[in-house]
Amino acid sequence: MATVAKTIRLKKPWLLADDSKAFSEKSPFKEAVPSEQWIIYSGWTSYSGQQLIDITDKKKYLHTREKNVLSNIFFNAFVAEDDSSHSDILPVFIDGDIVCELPLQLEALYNAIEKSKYILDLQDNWDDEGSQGYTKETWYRAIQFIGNYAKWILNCFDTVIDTPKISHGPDGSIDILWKKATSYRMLINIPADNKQPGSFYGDDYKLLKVQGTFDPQEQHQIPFLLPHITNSSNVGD
Amino acid sequence: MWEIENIPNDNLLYYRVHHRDVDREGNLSPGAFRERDGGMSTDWNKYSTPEEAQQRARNPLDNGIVRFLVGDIRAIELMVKHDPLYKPDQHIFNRAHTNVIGIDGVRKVEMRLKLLDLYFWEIRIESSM
Repeated sequence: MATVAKTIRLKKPWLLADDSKAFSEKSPFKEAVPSEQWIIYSGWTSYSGQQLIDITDKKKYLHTREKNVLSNIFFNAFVAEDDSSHSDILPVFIDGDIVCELPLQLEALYNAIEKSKYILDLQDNWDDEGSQGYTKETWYRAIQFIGNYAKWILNCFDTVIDTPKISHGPDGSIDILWKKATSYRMLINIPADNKQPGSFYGDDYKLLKVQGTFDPQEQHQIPFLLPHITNSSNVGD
Repeated sequence: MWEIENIPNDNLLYYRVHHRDVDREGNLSPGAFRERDGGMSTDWNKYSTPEEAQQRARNPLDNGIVRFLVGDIRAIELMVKHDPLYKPDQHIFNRAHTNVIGIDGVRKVEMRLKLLDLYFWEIRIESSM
């Protein structure tokens, strides 16, 4: 069975005066979703609000009971059919499909990925200057790449990569950016054309630099990125 | 109509940026730097103010203005070429128009990354993210 995240962080407005009634008939969960449907949360989220996923058509993920145990703003709301323990996995969803699953150590990357979903709203001519829009496929490939790369680094080197910013690039491509003042900067680009390689450039603002192209599906092709994006002494953005 | 002039290194170029190219922290995304029709379109400060550059956008209120020092652009091996526009049939008259050339090459990722460290805000615009 696919791992399902079961910990929910409520949006503030959803907290009821009487927390114990969070799942009462007046619960916003019940208001937002028909009673015959269920919702499941795709991992940790923030107050800015991430989506609650309607998985009506994915019965295998359905929970069987509500624990209804509140703990401050966090509480266990749903349990998987065959597992009532906490999940250590943060699945990234798009349109109900899992794009990738990240371990809890990569929560910051997960949040960056969630923020990047705005890219999917940019259609052709989004800037009134005729710029190309962005496809779900391109975003999907970019997220799978960075997710797999981060997991590969974690597994091989027991290291959590610095958290990048994921944004729209030129010509329907996706940019993955690390930029640490006076320390290093790196940009990876995943093109819209899946037949074209990804490209990257990074330097330490001085003489050291790396650049080249790679196959986004082969994350181990770029282990040389490691020194640049795992330097824990770097100054934050 | 207008002659093409050499632009000194200590002059400025104004570049329009769409609000969707600004992140929540007020920084430009690297995708903000795009070539169109042979170059990244900017306005030379000899013939334009930041406000005039903003007004040339189709939707001015959706765009902010950043500036580059010409010498900084050339230092990363991009070309700065004055390209005044005089198209009466299209009602386009812009003596300040200047192209930054070389972003869309084999070093595209490098150029876009380096441009992130060269701009300064003239007319700031809020992010819509």
